[in-house]
Amino acid sequence: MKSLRARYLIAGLVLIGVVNAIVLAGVAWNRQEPAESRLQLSERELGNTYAYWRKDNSSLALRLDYRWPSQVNDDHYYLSISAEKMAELGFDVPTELNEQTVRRYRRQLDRDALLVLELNGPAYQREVALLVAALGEAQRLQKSVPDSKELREAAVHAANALDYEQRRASRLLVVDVGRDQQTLRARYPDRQHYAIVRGIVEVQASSVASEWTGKGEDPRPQSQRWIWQLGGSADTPGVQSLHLPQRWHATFDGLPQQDESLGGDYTNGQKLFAAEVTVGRRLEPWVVELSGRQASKSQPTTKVQ
Amino acid sequence: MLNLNRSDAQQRADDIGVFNRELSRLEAEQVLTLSDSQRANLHGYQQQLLNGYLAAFDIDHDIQAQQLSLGMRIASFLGALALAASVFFLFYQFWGLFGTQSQVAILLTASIASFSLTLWVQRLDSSGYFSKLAALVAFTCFVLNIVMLGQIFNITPSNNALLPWALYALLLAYACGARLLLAAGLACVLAFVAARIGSWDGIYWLGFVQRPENFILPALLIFVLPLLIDQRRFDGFAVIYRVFGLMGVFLPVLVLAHWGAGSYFDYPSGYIENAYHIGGFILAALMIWLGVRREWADVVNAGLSFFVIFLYTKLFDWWWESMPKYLFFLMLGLSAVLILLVLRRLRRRNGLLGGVQ
Repeated sequence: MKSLRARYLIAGLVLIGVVNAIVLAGVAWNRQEPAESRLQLSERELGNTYAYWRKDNSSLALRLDYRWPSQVNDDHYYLSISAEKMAELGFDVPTELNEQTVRRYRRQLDRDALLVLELNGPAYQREVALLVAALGEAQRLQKSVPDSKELREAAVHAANALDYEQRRASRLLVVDVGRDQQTLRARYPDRQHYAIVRGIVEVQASSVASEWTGKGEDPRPQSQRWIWQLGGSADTPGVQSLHLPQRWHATFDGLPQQDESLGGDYTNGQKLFAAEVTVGRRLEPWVVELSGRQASKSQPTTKVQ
Repeated sequence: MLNLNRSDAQQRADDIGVFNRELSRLEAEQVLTLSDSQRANLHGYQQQLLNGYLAAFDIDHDIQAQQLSLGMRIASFLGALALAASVFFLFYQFWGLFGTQSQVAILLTASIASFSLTLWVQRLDSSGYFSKLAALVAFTCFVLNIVMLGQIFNITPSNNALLPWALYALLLAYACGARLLLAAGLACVLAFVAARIGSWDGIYWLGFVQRPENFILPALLIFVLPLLIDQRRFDGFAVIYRVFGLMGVFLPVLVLAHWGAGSYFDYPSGYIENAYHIGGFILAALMIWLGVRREWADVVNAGLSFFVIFLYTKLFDWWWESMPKYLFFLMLGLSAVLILLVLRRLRRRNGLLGGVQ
């Protein structure tokens, strides 16, 4: 009995030791130089995680906020990843679209993938340009009918959207999805502006009604009155909560906050900071540096009367 | 007392009590009379056995002790859950106050200390109530150890953590005879193997829950394990293996009998649901037969329970909408009577269910 207990003791201690050693060795390997990528982010890209049980949890974590490029023509239901890209990711994408093939497409399970996040690059500039163009169009329409309340409100809304985009919105956009890290890195070699992170891709399929342009009642059977759109979307569970080490808790609590007089509701009380986030060899990120920053006194690009 | 577990010892002690009561009756009715020396030998031998069992397994020596034991088991279970929750919240309450190195050191120390404490308590506690409680706390500490290392270092969540959790839970279960931890360990094994099967060819590992068939193979392995590795030394372990294995097979079959889209088979949902429903009936009947044949009451009960569930869900599908409710429930009642008649017939033929051998 005594020797049996000694065996259990040894086995348990070895198990605890080996598992901890493997985990910590993996962490050390992930954090070895050279890092996979290094991004200089701010509060625009690092949101405070929603801690609904904060009084029972003394830790701090930040969420990596990224987004997908917007569609110019947003008439149809928007699918973040195209059908062609889904096929590249290993999904079976049917060539002929009907109820049967779409059902088969939809029942495919989520797949592991890699997402390329671009920081303050052409994708973000395009977002700004789209909103500048939208504001110009809204102002042109407002000027053409100065008494229209609706058009005035639309112009104010467009100005606010541009202001939000330029001062608050995340500049981190998903620009590519793939399976092979080396291929993606070769395509995006700038490690200061392009980070590769792990993600999960799920299939999505939607249908939009195709208009009947002929004369009289639509003679087509119900199944032919719809156009199927196949694609997918992605999620990144690994970057939804970046642990903030205790040495920065005091800094984080004392960060300067956005002055209420400077912006709209979305910036009120926002903590202002700059942070360096490094993504390691195993594509696991961590916060390397955190410091406060002063609010920029940028004004809305265009005044709306 | 080799290969004897607490249940066996308790059973023998109960048998001694029954034997003594019957002997008293026979003597009162003057059917049988023992001489003084025979009576002394008999009682001496019985006392020796009972003392041995009491020292080794802390058995219940009378009915009152049995009732108290049940209360202690419930208190131990609830206390273990509460203590595990307390440890969980204690970590979260204070871990943000420590630096990274201190956090790692605390997590590692908590795992080692709770494990050592469990084995120390187990050495002193022949009843097992306190050591099982300590074992559950130790398991919680180890689970927290791995989960919080993952959070501290932003490690991508994966199914790999399930394997050490399974090994640790099984180790504690065998060290302390804790059936709850055996169930926890088997749950981790089941989830780990199912996730491995499900994440074949680049599929995201959590997708395994969307294909219930992933559970069937590991559950069958769990079911047959006590046949391959003798579990008689461990009180009630074989039953946990069998019941857990059966649940791991029956539940996916039950789910697929109502959600054909969750199957790997690419056929219309209706076909798959019907096939699994029929399969469920056959499997339940097979398990009842196997349980009767091998004298496994737990397997008979599990098979019967699922047979009834399959039957009632099918009757619901068929008749709930189309029948008046009084007729629907009448049919359920009649089906219960039919099951009773079949069971009575089985009971007459086999001793397991209470009949004569």
